[in-house]
Amino acid sequence: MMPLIEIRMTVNGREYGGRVESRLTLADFLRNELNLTGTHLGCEHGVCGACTILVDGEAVRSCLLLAVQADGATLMTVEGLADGDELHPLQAAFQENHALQCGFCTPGFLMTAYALLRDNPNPSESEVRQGIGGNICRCTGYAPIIRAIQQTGTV
Amino acid sequence: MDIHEDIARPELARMVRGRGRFVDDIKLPGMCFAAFVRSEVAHANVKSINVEEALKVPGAIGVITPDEVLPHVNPVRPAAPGSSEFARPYDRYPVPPRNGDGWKVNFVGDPIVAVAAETAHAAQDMVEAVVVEYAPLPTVGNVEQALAPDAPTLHAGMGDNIVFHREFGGGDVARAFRQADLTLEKTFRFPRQTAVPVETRGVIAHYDRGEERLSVWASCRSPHLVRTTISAVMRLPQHAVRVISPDVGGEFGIKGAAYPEGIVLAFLSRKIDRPVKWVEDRMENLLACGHAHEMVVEVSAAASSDGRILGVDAKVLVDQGAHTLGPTSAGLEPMTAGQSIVGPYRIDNFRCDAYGILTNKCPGAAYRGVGTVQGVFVIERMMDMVAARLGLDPAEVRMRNFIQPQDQPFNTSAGRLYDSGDYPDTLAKLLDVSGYERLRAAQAEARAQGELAGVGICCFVEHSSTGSQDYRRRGVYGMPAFDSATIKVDAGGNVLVAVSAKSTGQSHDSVFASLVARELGVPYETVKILEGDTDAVPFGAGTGVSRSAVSTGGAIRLAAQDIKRKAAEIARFFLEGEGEALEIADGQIYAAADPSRRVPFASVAAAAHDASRVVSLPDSIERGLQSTRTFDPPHQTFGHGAHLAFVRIDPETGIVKVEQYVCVEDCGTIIDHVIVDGQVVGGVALGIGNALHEELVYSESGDLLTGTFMDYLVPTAPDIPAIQTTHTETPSPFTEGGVKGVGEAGTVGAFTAVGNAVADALLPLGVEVTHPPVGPQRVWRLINSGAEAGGGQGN
Ligand code: FES
Ligand code: FES
Repeated sequence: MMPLIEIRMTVNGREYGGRVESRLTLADFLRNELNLTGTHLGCEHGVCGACTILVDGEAVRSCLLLAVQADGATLMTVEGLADGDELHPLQAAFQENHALQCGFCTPGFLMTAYALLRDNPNPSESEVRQGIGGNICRCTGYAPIIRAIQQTGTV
Repeated sequence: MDIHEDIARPELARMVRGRGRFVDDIKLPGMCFAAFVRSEVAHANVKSINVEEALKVPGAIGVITPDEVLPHVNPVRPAAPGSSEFARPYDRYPVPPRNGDGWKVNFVGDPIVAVAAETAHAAQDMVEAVVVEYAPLPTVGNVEQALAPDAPTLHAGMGDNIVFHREFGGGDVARAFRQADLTLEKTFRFPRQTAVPVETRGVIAHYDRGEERLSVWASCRSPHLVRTTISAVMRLPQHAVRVISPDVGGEFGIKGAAYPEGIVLAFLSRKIDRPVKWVEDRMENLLACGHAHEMVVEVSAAASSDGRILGVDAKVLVDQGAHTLGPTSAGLEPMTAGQSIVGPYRIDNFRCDAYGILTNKCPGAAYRGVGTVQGVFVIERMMDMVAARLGLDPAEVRMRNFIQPQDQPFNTSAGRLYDSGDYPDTLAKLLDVSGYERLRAAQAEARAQGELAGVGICCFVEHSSTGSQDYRRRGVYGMPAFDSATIKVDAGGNVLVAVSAKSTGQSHDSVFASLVARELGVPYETVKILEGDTDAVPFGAGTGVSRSAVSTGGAIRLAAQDIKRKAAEIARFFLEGEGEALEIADGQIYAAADPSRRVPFASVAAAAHDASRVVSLPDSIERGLQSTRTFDPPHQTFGHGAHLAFVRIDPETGIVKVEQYVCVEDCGTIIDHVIVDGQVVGGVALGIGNALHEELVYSESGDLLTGTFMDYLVPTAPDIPAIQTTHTETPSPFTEGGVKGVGEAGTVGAFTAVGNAVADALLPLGVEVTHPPVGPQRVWRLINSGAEAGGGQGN
């Protein structure tokens, strides 16, 4: 067995700790150790964006980070967007605009869009297109996702 | 009859919260993790398999080798009686079959051994530690090599590599060519592509030795068909197998079958007496899940000087890879491609020689637009080529060849019966909506300045909702094609609807719930849809061939009529009106003549369950309020459409930019515009990717060179233009409510509209486009060679 390393982090406002193998990815840690299965894995090599979360405010691909690299960090995942029963406006806009079909890519788009709108409120259509250019959706053709993000405007 | 757009879509709310439940999200008590040792050689005899070191890995639980599976399984025979009569027999096993004193592997990625460990990492460590010794055999890399007289054969007992062959057609092709003013001969090469849903395949198998029952959680669209295969192969009675399909993260055709990995996993679970999960990684998905679309089509067309196509003679050579997937798929691509070549046109003389051919590559699978994409590309490119030769406008040539609406239903020379559709009107609408004249003017202006710009049109018909009769006509027997719905109303008036379809992103929860609400006259909020569990839903074919709206929708309508009849019968005990007409709306049953005489649907439901304080039913009325009905589409329906793409090409880089995209779609009566638009726009994006980028490339030795998303390029938002959609609605005379399927139309139209637009842009250079995808490399080479470039995009 590989030696286990002790880590602590804040996820969606809650403190978590664990002992992990150094090779465990952050995505696997969130999904398997913390049961936060909203973060999805579509490629595990950094291209599809499904695993996007916020680490200390930055949108990152959690499949490319090791859990130990997030020691001490503050994280936000898709489960942290809504305020209890109340959907975050971005989530509501995704629902309303039918910005998802199978929904597998959705958490990654939501987190990417969240960071995008925070850094650049009310982006133009082409800014949104570029901004989500690192995320793959096979179902929607992107148009309703772009609509939902533009409609939300700010976060 | 459009449902309203602001209905709650419960499936979406769950997903945006990150509360989907996909296979990889499921944890069972005691669950462990599997991984597969896969062949590293394209064609070989495995001489030895050594698992000793693997079992020493910390966390190792056990392994399954081929010899532990082979004695206990029935092979799947693509050509067994009861499947396709034009397919050739060979035995397919879920593990490499015995071959002398070794085991035969047929593609890089062929699963050889399954391992189980306490963690997914430990399972990977075990895979690394298994030692496999190969005796390589010559590789059959493409259809030409497979058909060579001295080609090695892939499967014992076959004699050659032809797994499907059928000749079909109608009219007199030879005479058409004798009468022709113009003949064209072309060879088209289509790339190997794959669906790549963002969620890869995943399976959890749990063989419960106490109950002697196998439960399988699989990301799939046809749980009952998967159960049928598993039970047949594993020699288990069907009721001893339960297949559950939780949320499915996209599939586009590829998650329809029971894959060998799932069956091996079941054996592994039985052996180690633990639930075991396997989720493939993206490399496995690209390497070994299932490939599609690769084929060579040799075609000649005879035309008259006024642009009428008099006859077409085609040879379709489909590269199936190492296996056909299931009982129907041997002929799936060859037949669909061949039959699609006549398109929406009146081509009275047609002959097609369709082959499915085995090679040492990943096995074949269905992928959105199966075969139709290629058949349509062939005829639509030929239309443009005829137009160019005769100096006619491509739209005009199409107008001259269309089947006219008054000739519907129309029997094509390729053996299909189209149901309805006004093709000239649809094209006229496209030209109007897209501003065709203006685009041609823009193109002329670009050309005058030495720039490359092109307009591409694609007109097509798209079959959907294949019924069992259609299968039989294609020579496929024993293929259930019906779907089912059970509607159960409980004593409180809530409506539970269990259906054989399985949503993989088509919002069945809201589409079917609103259909039921409308048919029954009850509030939408009281209806719940249940899918994806063979223990809980009635038997049926499941989702596929863009069929759910027609087949499951048909079954729902029939079951709802039963419920309404019975509810009315019971309502008479409340309303005490003999024989008067009753209606149901807004959860109330009332007298048509006097709506003030009414009873709530919920009270009737209570009475049906002996739970009413007001009415107690006589014994002659059966208790409960439920019905199960099936619907077998009596005939395929044919949606149609016309798409247009306007592209500009950068001559320096070969990069194609799709600037405008317009489509006019007719999928019969539309149940839900939002869903239909979603299917069309998503399909177009997929089709643009297929046209411009997606290509799986193999090396000469049979290694896949495109095993990651860095090499197999799927479109992201900057690649996709705004897509403008318009609908016409020609109800099908063949289905309940006039519905036709729509799931594949976008892909079919886009692949060719973009292909034709690129070809049109390159026309002044005197080059022809016959080998998609037309991405930067191939286009650059076309621009710089003045001739069609051969080889893979990656060469
Ligand atoms: S799973 Fe992380 S980018 Fe695809
Ligand atoms: S909604 Fe299915 S991948 Fe985006």
